[in-house]
Amino acid sequence: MIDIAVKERWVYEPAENAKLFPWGPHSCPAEINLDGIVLMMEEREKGFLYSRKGAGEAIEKLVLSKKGKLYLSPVEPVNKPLALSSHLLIDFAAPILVEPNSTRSVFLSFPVEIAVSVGRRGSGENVIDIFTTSKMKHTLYGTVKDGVICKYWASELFSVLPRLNPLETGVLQLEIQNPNSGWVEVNKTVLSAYGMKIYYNGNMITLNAVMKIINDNDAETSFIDSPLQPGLVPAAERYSTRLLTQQGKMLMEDGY
Amino acid sequence: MIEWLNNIVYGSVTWLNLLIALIIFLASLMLAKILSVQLRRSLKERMSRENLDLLTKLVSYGLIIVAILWIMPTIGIEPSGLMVAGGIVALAVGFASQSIIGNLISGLFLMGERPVKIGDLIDISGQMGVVEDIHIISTTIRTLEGNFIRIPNETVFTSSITNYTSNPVRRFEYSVGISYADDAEKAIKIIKEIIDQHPLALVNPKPQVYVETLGDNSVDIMIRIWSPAKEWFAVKMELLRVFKDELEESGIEIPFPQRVVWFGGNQQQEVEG
Repeated sequence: MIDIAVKERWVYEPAENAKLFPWGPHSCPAEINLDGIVLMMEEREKGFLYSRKGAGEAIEKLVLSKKGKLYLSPVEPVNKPLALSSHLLIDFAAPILVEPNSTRSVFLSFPVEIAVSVGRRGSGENVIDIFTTSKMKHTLYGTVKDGVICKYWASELFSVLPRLNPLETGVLQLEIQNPNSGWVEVNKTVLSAYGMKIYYNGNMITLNAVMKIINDNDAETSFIDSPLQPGLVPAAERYSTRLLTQQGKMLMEDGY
Repeated sequence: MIEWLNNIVYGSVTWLNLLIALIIFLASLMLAKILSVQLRRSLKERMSRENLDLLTKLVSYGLIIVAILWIMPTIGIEPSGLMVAGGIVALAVGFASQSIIGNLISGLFLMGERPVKIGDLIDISGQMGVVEDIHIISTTIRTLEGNFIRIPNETVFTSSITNYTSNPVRRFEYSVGISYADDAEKAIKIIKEIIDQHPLALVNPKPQVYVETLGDNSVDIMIRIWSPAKEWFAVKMELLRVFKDELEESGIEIPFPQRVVWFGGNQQQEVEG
């Protein structure tokens, strides 16, 4: 049995200091403890043994590479427990009433999923694991015949930028545009994973989205490719906008 | 030059007749090629490659045969002579291939109507399985036991089909009986909490948990849950075990069928006097 030489050991504490947050790169072998989720890269004869214990699972994978670094990055939160859908439905804790011909912004939360990659940061090819500590739930948006299965998240409403545990929840700034002549009541929003622009740093994970009210029943959501604060870096995109039909827009035709 | 074209080659056929026949034949070849390319482009995502090959060949060869029949009188061959012999042959072939033609036409209608897709879980005439392939003559399904079944398209087309995965979600249900001595409200609360914790038990359409019947041996709680159509069976299998374990752990009894026999106690009364 080979003794594990732990070169890098890190224990997450939800502290102010962003530099301590374990996004990496981590030299291997490594052991990272994130609020009880233990990620390890143990040296083996022909590479490394990656293991994770926590977040409801215990997994092991052999990485056949002599050198390499371990990176962590938030990804579009639609992969766990199964990648059943490319949509995220956020259900508001209370309805939002928006006055006619106005644009209002609110802050919401969204679930966080963290991808573990080896080698280089970037494309999805080298992602070896994805985990989440936030509640996993799915729902149907629309009718039984034509509806869309969505990852479900119930969110509180915040009027100012909230401080949330970045290992569990991110912050979504949603700009609601109501160009119509009547008041609208908004209870939920549905976002497409394609084109989801997640930015993050040590203290927060953010999304910036727009919801344009079309009429009494329909709305369209899309993303703004800019961070909520300076110093945030873009996350790796697993659902890139490869096709013309997948430009990150979602037409909500079954109510909002 | 034009006069030369009017020279007789054989019988009453001139060089001009031969030239016209050649032009029509070449034009039909070109048209067949264009049609097959267009068919491939428009149907490549709706049909398997094998079926598409067969269809394009049928169309292009059919067109060429029509062109040949058209140019036959031009080159001095009377097709009417062939008609009698051809008619008899066609009649014989028609009778022999009646079912094949029926299946072929049904296959074309199935490809147009698309009541089933490859990968769907279906039930056709009592045969349940996953659609493996839809050919032009037959449809193949893999039963849940792993057997291979080939069903003629005519049977598929004329049978009633239950498609379990055509909608994105489906519902399943359980009836769980608890003892009359136990608190039904508590049992319902536990069941709702379990459903809430399962990631694939959908939030909407809402699950239903309620006391359905007051049975002979138990209070029967009906549980109705919606789940993604492709995952419903795994969810159904998993949840029933969890319900049993959690209810028993909470002291709620899932009773056996039982009957209380009452002996009408103390019937022997003392007679005074």
